Parts: sequence; structure tokens; C-alpha cells
Amino acid sequence: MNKNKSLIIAWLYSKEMNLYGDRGNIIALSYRCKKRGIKLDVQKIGIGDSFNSNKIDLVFFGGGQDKQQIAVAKDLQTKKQQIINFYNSNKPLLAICGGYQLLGDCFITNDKKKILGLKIFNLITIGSEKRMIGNVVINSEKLKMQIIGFENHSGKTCLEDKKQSLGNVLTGFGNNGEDKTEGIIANNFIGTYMHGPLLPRNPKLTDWFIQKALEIKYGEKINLANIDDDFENKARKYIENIKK
Amino acid sequence: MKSIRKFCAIVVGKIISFFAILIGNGSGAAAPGLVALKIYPELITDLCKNIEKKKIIISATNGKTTTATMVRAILENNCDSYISNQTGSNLARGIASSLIKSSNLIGEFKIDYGVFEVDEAVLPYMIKQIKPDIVVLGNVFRDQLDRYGEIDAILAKWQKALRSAKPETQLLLNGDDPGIAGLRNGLKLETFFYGIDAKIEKDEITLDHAADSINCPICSKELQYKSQQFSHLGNYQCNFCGFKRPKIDLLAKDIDEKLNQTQFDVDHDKYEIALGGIYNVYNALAAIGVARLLDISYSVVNNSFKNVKPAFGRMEEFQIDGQKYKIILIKNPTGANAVINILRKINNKNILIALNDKIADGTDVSWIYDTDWEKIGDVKQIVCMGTRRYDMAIRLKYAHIEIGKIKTAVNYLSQITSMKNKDDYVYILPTYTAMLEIRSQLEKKKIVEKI
Repeated sequence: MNKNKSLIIAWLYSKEMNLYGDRGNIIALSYRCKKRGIKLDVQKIGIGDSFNSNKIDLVFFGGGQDKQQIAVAKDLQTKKQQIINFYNSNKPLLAICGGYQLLGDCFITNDKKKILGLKIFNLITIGSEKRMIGNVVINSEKLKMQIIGFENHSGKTCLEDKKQSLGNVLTGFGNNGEDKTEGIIANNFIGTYMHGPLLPRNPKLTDWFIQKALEIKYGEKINLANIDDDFENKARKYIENIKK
Repeated sequence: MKSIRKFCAIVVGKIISFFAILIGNGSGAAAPGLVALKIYPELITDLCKNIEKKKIIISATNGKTTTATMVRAILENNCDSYISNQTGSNLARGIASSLIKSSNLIGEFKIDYGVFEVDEAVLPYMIKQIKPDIVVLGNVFRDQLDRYGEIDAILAKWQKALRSAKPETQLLLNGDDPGIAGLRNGLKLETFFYGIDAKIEKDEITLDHAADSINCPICSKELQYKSQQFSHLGNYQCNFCGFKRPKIDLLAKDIDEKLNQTQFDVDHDKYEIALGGIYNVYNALAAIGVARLLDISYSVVNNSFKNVKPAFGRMEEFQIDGQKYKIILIKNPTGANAVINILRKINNKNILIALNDKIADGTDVSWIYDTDWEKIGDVKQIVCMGTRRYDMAIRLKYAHIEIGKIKTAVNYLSQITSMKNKDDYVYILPTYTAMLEIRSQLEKKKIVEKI
């Protein structure tokens, strides 16, 4: 019933912001679309390229090294209006680590430099000496699922409204290692520190993105056919048992 | 007081080493040093004073072990004595353990050279402790980022450490790696570069997926490449600030590659190594560079290469009931992609991938997504084992391997003995600690030798 549908995903800054297996998120989306007969077009949009909100159905924005993040932050401002349009049309976006930070108010580095973000997420990030690294397990009440991943960041992110968090931390540090929040969800934009990569390990979350993108694009309720996710379920049990 | 601490550290280290050998597990290579350093933190500096000629440190993301093995083979063939840390035991504790092993109870031993393979994260610390005469830096790749943070941060720490190295330190750097070559900036140390001559150079090429460090280490703009050996290694230049690949002192030309053997020329001398893969040419060049700095002749060097077979677990072969097996260690996208490249053209492969996520393997397994498993080619089946076997299975599913061909298993010995492939090897691709576990089970059945 979803055959012959198609989606266009914009992969923002795929060259500069692509760490810790982030492309696995694109791979997961591609696979799960293909299995349902949905055509997924991946458009790489980088520094100097234009981003047209009307032509895109889904966005992925990954993490990068500190050096690259500065160049990206500058270019991101030129795409600000279009990304705000994307947000206001309720279209889905996944931002991880650096991408997550840059959609917030700003990032304050260890040497007190302020890098401006797009102010779409109400949060700020402050660089710290400590690196937060390890497996993460969170419970998302909003999405009604447990999500697993792996974090590796020194930035501490503080949400203005903790109720906007993606979920609460069961294992790991989360946004800042202090308030047990992880990530953010606002409209259909999700920001998180979870690598892993995130989507291959969380097929329900991947399907959530595909579903949201199709529903906004085609204006109808979408049901996705099942895929055998036996390996994912077993992998999840392993991570969830580690904390015990 | 100091000499009492030193004595205690050595005695305790030796006792732990004795028991570790009795129990017979891999931790015997590191535990003695770990405890000894707690008792006497200056142990490494102190014991290294026994080394009479030169102290050599080798570090890189890929190839440290092979390079160190080659250097040791050269020294042996040259009738020199050396002290070296056990392969793979390249943190401070491993190095301390090897020093304790060689010394008497008051910390003395007589030896010509020190050859130390050093993990990227501890290179700055080891430069301070060992005070090396020669530092060999091979490459920095995306590898075990959960331990080290980021590549730029590593290179910055390395450069800072080199700035405080003693002025007579000689550097031997891989000039084909821009991050490594960029280290020389602002240093006053005598530096030599090695690299590979490209057969074809274009005006501009695009790098393949897993390439890191593609930005100019001086001005951070994107580098342009005229040729590429693999990943980010090749002939590069920055069109903004003028930084480019330096003049190469040791240039390998006319490379003839086979699965188990490679031939190449350096300054009209012909070399042959018993290993396949371009990355091993870099390792050999580094070893040749060290030999030149030690005034060891070409013929001694080339002869010693015959004795360098793949290091344990790296390309090791064994047989069970007439079935041949090959263990090929994998630990990061670049290395794994090189292995996939060697295997892809073989049909109907029977493969075992053992993915662990212990500290020495890297606890972040996302590197399997930067590896191009899609290119593995025709397979009969792939069996996933190790602590993260399900994550490996997920990865293969997303690489469009038929789900029916993906299996998971737990017991190495029974799985390995049940895998057969007439007329071909069964390929075993483990991460480091999985390789130790597999070898340990095989050693018990006397299928492979104890290291």
C-alpha cells in the first residue's frame, strides 16, 4: 500500500559532519524504505549548497569534529529561514551531537568562544573538560519506546524546558550528566547525543521518521509493513542488560 | 626510598608475571606493568636508561605491530639485541611489563636497542618517559574514537609532545598522511619522510568514504588530491595556504602486489615482503627508514623481511581435519575495508566475524557502519560472534546480505570446527580481544601455538 510512494531526504553537511558511523542512519532509512517499496532519494547538502524546505521530506544532520563544526555553523545561518520553514511545516528531522547542538541557541566552547546556533531548539550547550562516553539507554514517554545508543561528547546541553526532552536516562549521561534528560523533541524535530548509530539499532524509531515524513507529504495515515527485526531485538536485550 | 620503591615494583611485577603465565591468559602482558607503575611511576624512564644504543618508538592507528615486527627482524638479522613490548600490549602498562621482564631485581639489563610499539593515546606520555632517539609515526585513522575523542585532538597532542622532545630526536614520518606530515611544522627536529609513488596522478580526485583528516592541518580548508593510495593517504595539497605533501626521502616505486607477497623499489634497491596489501608497503618503508638511521645495510634489511610472516592473529593460518582457516584481525574501517577488498572476488565464502566491544577493541562499535560490508561479494554464510554479534548481524542485514545467510553463534571452538569450505579457506575476522579468545581456545586443543 506504500509502494510507489517516494521520499527525499536531505543529508546536511554529509562531508563535514559524519562521525561515529552516522551514515548508518541513512543506510537504515534506505533499507526500511526499500523493503516497503518506497523510493528514497538521498541529497547531500553541504557548505554553499541551497536547502529548499519545499523540496525535502526528511532531514538528517550528523555530528562532527570541533574544527569542522565552526565552518558548518557559519554556513548554517544562510539556511536558517528554510530550516525554520521545515520546522513549522512539522516535517521530521534527526540531529545528532554536533547537529543537535547547532540547532540550539548557541555553543560556548572551552575557551569561552560563542558559536551561534539556529535557535530552533531552546537549549544551550557549554563545552566541558569531561568527556561523556558510553552506552545509553533512555525511556521516551513521548514516543512510547526505549531508545538505545552510544554517546561521546564533551558538550553539556541544558534544555530551557526539561519537558521537551526526548526521554529520561536509564543508563548513561544524556544531555549533561546531571538532570537525567536526553535529547529534545519539538514538533517532529529530534535532537540527541545518541550515536550507535542510532537508527539501525532502533528500528521503531526509524519507522517513526519514515511514517512522519510520508504522513506530512501525502496527507494520509500511514501503516508500514513489518520487517523481521529479530537481530535488533536481541541486540537491544544485550545493551539493556549491561546496566544491571 | 626511590630505590626501595623501584625494587618493590620490579619484584611485584615479576611475581604477577609468573602467576599470569601459570594461569595462562593474555593479561600477563599488561598486569605486571600496571601494578608496578603504581608503586614506582618513574619505572619506564629509569629502566630505559639501560638501553645502550637507540630507543625507537613506533606509533600509528594501523601498522604499529607489523612495523615493530619488521624492525625487530632487522635488528635480529643484524645481530643486535633489543627489548620490545609484546605485540598488542602497547599502553604504558605493557611497556613497563616488558622492561620488568628483561631486568634483574635491581633494574639492570644489558641491551642494544629498545623498540616500542606505542598506542596513539599514550604517545605523548611515552615520549616523556622513554625519551626516544627515533620516533616513527605512520598514520592517524578513524579508530576507537570512544577512547581518543577526535583525530585533530590526537594530532595536536602529538605535536605538543614533540615540541618538548629532546633536540636530538629524529622523526620518521609518513609523508602521504597530511595529518602526520603537518606535525613537522614548527618543530626543529631532524625529520625524514617516507611515501609511495603514485602510478597515475590526476589534477583532482575524490576520496572514498571512510577518509579522515581531509582538511589541511595548517589552515583547515579542504585538501585537494592528485592521487590516492587509500583513505586519506596520497599526494595532497592545500590551494589556500600552500601546504602540500613534502619531498619524500624514502619513496617506494614499481609496486607489485599479490595476496601473500609484495615487491617494490626504493632508490633502485629491490625489496620483497611476505605480506599483501599496500598498507604493508608503508610499514616496510618505516622499517627501512629506521634501518637507514641505524646504518644497517640493504641486504640485511631485505633478508630479514623473509622472516616477517603475518603477526599472530593478523593473517595467521591453521588447519583442523584438513580444513584451512585464516584469521584476519579487523579493528577499524580502513583495515576492515582493506580486508574486504582482498576477499571480495572470492566466491562462496564461509566467513566468521567476531565483534567484541571490550576496552582493547573499542567500546563503540559504530565503526562497522563506516566499513563497506556491502562490498564483501559472494558469500555462503556469515556467522557473527563476539559480545556484539547481533549488532554485526544488523549491519550485514542493512548491507543487503540475505538474512538466511546471517547466523549468530556463541561457542568459538564448536562453530569453527563445524565450518567447512572445500578448496578454500574459512575466513575468520575477529576484533582484538575476540582474536585472543579464539586463539586461547585453539591453543588448548593444540591447534595453534601458544604465543
